[in-house]
Amino acid sequence: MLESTIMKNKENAIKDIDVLIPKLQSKDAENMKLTRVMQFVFIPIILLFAVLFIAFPDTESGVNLRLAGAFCIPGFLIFLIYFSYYYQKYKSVNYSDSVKSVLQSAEKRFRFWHPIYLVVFIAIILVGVGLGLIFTPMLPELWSSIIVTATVIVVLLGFSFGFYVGYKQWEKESKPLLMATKKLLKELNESY
Amino acid sequence: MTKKKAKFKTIIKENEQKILGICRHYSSNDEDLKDMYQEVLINIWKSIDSFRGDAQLSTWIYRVAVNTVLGFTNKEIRRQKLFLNQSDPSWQNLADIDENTAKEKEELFQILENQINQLSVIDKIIMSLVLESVSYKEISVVIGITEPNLRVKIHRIKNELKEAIINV
Repeated sequence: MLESTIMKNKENAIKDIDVLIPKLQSKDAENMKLTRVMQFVFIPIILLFAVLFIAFPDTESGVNLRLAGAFCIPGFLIFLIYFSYYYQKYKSVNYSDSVKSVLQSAEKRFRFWHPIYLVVFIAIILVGVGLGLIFTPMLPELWSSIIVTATVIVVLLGFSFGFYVGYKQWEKESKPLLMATKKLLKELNESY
Repeated sequence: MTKKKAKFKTIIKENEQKILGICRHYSSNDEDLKDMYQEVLINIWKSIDSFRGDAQLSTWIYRVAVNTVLGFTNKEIRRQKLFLNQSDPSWQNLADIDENTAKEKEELFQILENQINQLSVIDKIIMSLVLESVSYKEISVVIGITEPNLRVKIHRIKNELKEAIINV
């Protein structure tokens, strides 16, 4: 009965493709948009920092601003590269690979920790240090070390909480998929 | 973009039955079939630029279809059921069923379908490709294992299915 329904609707299926294609094209455009948005956000910021803090820093602020620029610019560059390249690569699945290759990629994707996170973490530190070098001299001298210490503690607590929440989410959603994928790979790798 | 659209339409028109064949085995109703079929089309669209002509188009299509089915039910991957089509005689080849077998065809079909759904996910995928009369060489390329390894797996599965029929 299923087969006869399919045969009857063959013409409709072809027509459905004509309806589907514009949606697919707009989805492609949407995905490109995210990469473009990130590039348009980070490129002007990098140029702004390069001009303000490296090429033409305020001479009254001395070496501080140049140092701030030297920290922030590499940090933003890392974010730009991450969102331009690694994010797309990480999120996409190549369905035309063999089943074994797709499972191997999925196994890597479902892991909790990826080495690229270390690079992104370093970028966050760099930007943090850079922004600290910019804003700390603006603070009243009496309070500056207290405020800086408090800010660092709050940021570290925030990161720790974020890490914990991220781990719990991974444990609930991705870990079962990781275990299932590993089991399938083990079965595929069995040789007789 | 027009070139991609034309290529996509040609590929789908020439391979629609192959895609439907795979999707049919994993759909219990028309609605599921339609959803799964559309998901395969989406993934063919996404992967179309990666087809370089280094593998057969049918192999490439089967890879996308099978990988889509694997990912379609996401967390339910372990419980994904394989549905056989009783009107298509190819199911009898799964366990080398003799025309003269005493048991009724209906009974045999039920036993076989139950037993096939005890198989692992990979074994079910392999058997769905066997049901589509895909060559062993092509199945091994789709799955990503060697042909001798595949033949041993299929031989083992067929023996398990035969035993299930004898022992019931």
